[in-house]
Amino acid sequence: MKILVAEDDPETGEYVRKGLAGEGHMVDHIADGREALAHASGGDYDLLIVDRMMPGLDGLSLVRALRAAKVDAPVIFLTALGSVSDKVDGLGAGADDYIVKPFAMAELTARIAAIARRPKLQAEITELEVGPLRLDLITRAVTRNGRTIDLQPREFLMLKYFMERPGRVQTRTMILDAVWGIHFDPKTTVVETHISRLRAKIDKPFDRALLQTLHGVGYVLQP
Amino acid sequence: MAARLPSAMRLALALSALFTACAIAAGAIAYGVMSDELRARLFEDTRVSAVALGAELSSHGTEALATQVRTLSAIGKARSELYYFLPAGSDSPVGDLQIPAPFDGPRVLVAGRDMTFSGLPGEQQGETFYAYGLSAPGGRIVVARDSQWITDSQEVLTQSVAWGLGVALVGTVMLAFVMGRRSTRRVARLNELLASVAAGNLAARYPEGTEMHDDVGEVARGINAMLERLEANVEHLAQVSADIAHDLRSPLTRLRLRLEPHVLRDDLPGDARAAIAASLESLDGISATFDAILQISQMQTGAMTVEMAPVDLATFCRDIEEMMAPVAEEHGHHLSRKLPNDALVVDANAELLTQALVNLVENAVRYAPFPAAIEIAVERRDGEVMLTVSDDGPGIPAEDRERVTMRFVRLDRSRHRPGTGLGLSLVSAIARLHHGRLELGDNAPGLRASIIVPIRSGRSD
Repeated sequence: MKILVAEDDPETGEYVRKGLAGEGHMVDHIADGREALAHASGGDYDLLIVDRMMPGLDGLSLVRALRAAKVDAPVIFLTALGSVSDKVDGLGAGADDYIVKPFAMAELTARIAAIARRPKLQAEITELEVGPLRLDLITRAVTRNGRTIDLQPREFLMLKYFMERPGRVQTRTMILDAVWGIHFDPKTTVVETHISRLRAKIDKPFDRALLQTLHGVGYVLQP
Repeated sequence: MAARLPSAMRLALALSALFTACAIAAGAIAYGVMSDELRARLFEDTRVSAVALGAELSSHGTEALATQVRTLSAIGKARSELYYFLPAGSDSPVGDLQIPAPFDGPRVLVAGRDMTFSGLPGEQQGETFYAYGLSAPGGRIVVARDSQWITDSQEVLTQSVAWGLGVALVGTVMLAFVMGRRSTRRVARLNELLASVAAGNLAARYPEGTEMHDDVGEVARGINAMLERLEANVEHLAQVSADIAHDLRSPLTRLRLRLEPHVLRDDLPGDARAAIAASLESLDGISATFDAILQISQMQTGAMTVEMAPVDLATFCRDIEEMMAPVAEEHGHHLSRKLPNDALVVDANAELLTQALVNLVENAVRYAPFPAAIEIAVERRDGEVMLTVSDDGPGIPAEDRERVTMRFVRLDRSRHRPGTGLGLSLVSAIARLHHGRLELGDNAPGLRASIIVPIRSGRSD
């Protein structure tokens, strides 16, 4: 993908550029809001990553100006403003997603992947398969090496979420959002607890652990 | 409305009552003074007449006076003046009156008691007469006048006072109601304004108009000025929060991005990766605490406005119970729920309410010694709904309950456990944002923490 990063902090911008380039994207980094608007209006970017507070032009106005000019490339806000109303403002201005600083690079790449996948979601997929795991989206049957695994509804949701993103690191925040619809960090061990329950069912009776913990980053389902 | 009249109306009514009392007192005094004056004049008239008759007697003699008295009697009826002349040595008086005991000087006579009328039926029985008696060598003279004049004058005075007072009373009472209505309307408008501000609308103002020059207008202007300052302060605070957020989060972001790639590096020794992972977790802890502080202060100052939507608490609590039950179990506790059968709908921001309830459950899980029985309950009480998380742990002593909802307050026995000391103050701020409150009580044994919010009705706000 061709991505524009509008971020006034040079070091952060550089890390994001490097991280996304490592994922195979083409990335331009711009530190000024007005300049970013000029670039975004002209260049045909597939995605814009926009900091909300920037010199020249703030991110909110930038996105509004782009939307008014019928530039409809998806936008992810990076922001230091994390309250509920700030998020509402951001999404209201026309952003597609919203990440509060400090964020994990893994989360940014995962959200980019989610946005990139969006149009293809309509495809008729009835079964997910990751390594020895199979999940039938219609009958809701889950098997590993052919052995049936009984899952609670939330465990099923969680496994489905991971199986749709094999090999990709998922952060706690993303799992909370996907499984419980919670967009804040409730500072509980709820994710850890539910992960360990899921693991007890899909991994424990078998020889190899598929669902792995990356401390300080998140969780990943290895194929 | 009848039970509590508005203060302006009460004041106006009190004033008109006072005015009435004063007018009646003034009328009574005028009545007394006038009556005394009229009586004095009547006595003076009778004295002058009696003295004139006395002079007639001494200069022209008994017969002449008798003739004059008869003449006067004949015409005196019209003037309401009555005469009595008893010639010396005679016992049959000339004139209109029979007076058993003639006297000297002024005296009040009552018809039928002190005197009778000659040749007239007692149609004026009981009436009061003002008389003057005179003793001369030629006989005794009494001139009397009836009190009709005084009575008439008194009646005129009473009637004019009564009419005047009646008109004034109707006028002042009407004025009282008009003033009362006006001030009630304005006080109601002020109350609406304050309620709107309390609900977070800091831009609300009392409309400036022609009515701003009295005391209520003064108060309204004062409130407007205060709101002006309050709004400016809140805006300033929001700006400062945003600045701090930016200044603190930017270096944390750099730090996180700098560390993160290394935690995934296979070529680093395990303990180095563990140290980096621990650093990342601490870093996330710092930003979580920071988020909570910012969120609480934004909610407390009204700098945060959130969308409210109908939330069914029964479904809502069941979801949270299902989410948190495994966490409780992990700690050796048991989490259960007691929910009403039918839907109980409140206006809420589901995300914030989730945050509050999860916090309360997390508190119970963290601080109650296992195995504890923790319960999420929803109850309806009057116009409110209580969302209660209770446990059977040690609870919080009554004297500490208010303190623990303040920021960063942690009781000594929880100091060695993880936590920021922000949980309950966050819950309290969220409850208040929902026009409710957080109440901590005794579960005997254990803690009962209740979020109490008004039930949804047909309110428009």
